[in-house]
Amino acid sequence: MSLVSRIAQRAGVFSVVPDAVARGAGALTLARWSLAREPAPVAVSSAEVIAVNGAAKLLRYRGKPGVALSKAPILLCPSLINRLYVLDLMEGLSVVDALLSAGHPVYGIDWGDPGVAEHGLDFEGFVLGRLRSFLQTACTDAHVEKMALLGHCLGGTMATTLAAVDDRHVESLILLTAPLSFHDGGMLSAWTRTPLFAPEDLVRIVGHVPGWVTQPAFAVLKPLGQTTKVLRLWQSLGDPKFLEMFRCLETWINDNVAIPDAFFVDLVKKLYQGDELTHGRFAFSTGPVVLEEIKVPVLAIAAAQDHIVPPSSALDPVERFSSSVNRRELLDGGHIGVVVGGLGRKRLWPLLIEWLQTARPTTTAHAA
Amino acid sequence: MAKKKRGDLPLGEELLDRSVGLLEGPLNRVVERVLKSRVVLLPVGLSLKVTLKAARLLVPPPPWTPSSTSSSASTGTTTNRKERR
Repeated sequence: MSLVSRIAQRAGVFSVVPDAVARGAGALTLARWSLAREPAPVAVSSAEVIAVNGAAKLLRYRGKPGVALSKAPILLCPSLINRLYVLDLMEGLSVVDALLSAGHPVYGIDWGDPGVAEHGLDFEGFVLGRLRSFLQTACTDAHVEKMALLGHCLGGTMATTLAAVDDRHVESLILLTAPLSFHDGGMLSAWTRTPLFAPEDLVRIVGHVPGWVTQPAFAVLKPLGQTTKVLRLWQSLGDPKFLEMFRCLETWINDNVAIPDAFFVDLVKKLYQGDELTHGRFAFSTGPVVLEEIKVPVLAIAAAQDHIVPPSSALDPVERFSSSVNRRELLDGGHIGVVVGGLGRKRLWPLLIEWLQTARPTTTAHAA
Repeated sequence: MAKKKRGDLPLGEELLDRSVGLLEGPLNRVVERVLKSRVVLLPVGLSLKVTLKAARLLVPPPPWTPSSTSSSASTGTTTNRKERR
């Protein structure tokens, strides 16, 4: 390449027009989606509701044509404060789809929007009430005694506490960016421990803590995140695949779920402010929740650039489990990127499938 | 628009890419450190406390409040108690 053409290339002479056209087309596409209010194509896998408890539903995903669901079943327990479909975000970016394609029956919990039935339902109520009963129902439906339990984010914290007190139906535990130690030096940890902040005060005013309270709070966790998001969007405006993913992801991010009142108080007061799970002080009415009591095989996955659950919070406490198999993985990416990003697809999905096919202490039969 | 390596990008694009990297990395960490400091958290906590106390005088209480737990728990009527098995 001659010096002149090299200089012209670096100055952007050759790319300025095509880039501008591509970005213009991208901007028009975004505007069309926005004005037409077309729903984003999220939650692509089809599922049926097999149990309901208050606002929460247990879903059974339908198998893919030509794929027998003959392998180890799994129950997905998402964070109570986000929608389940981050694990089934869009065509080509779905953990659910990857598991179904590999022949694993998949069940998922849709916690739903908290209403009257969720008033006063605390952390224990959600774990020993809803999560445990859904796990039992899923096992019955799949004709197995136990199944793998995947907890994402706070869903992982809930799954951990269940496995610590009652692992009768847990074959193995998969913790995906799940916070276990809460004094982790992260922003969320610092802000929930703001001096004088008492979660009861907030709950007394708003009841279930709505999205308009939590959404800005999460935005603060990455202070320059909104600015960089706009700049990244500008950079990739000409890439239709990126736009589609951006649209689906934004739909999920803005699809807020209120945090149930008593659960919020427990979460902030006992877990974030008191760090009771790590210190062995966390207890249900049935007795203490002791991390050392966890005996089922565990796969803990953390994201190296996670600004919500730092890797130390997701991985260090797992060392204390008494599990026969105790595997910890640190993957590249952020809290969400590790699930839906390109690296997630390359590393997380094969890891989950490999785990489900190997970490089975007992062989059980289940329906196709 | 295909994804290009940084060195292949026009200078303007490369500068933008580097700026975004700077914002996402070092600058974000600096702002985070400031936001986590007591200088920020103490006034935030104080104003939150005052606002919530004031709001409590104006807003009627929701169906469940933390203080209502003890009374309902004593009669065994809390939802969570009913759901435990």
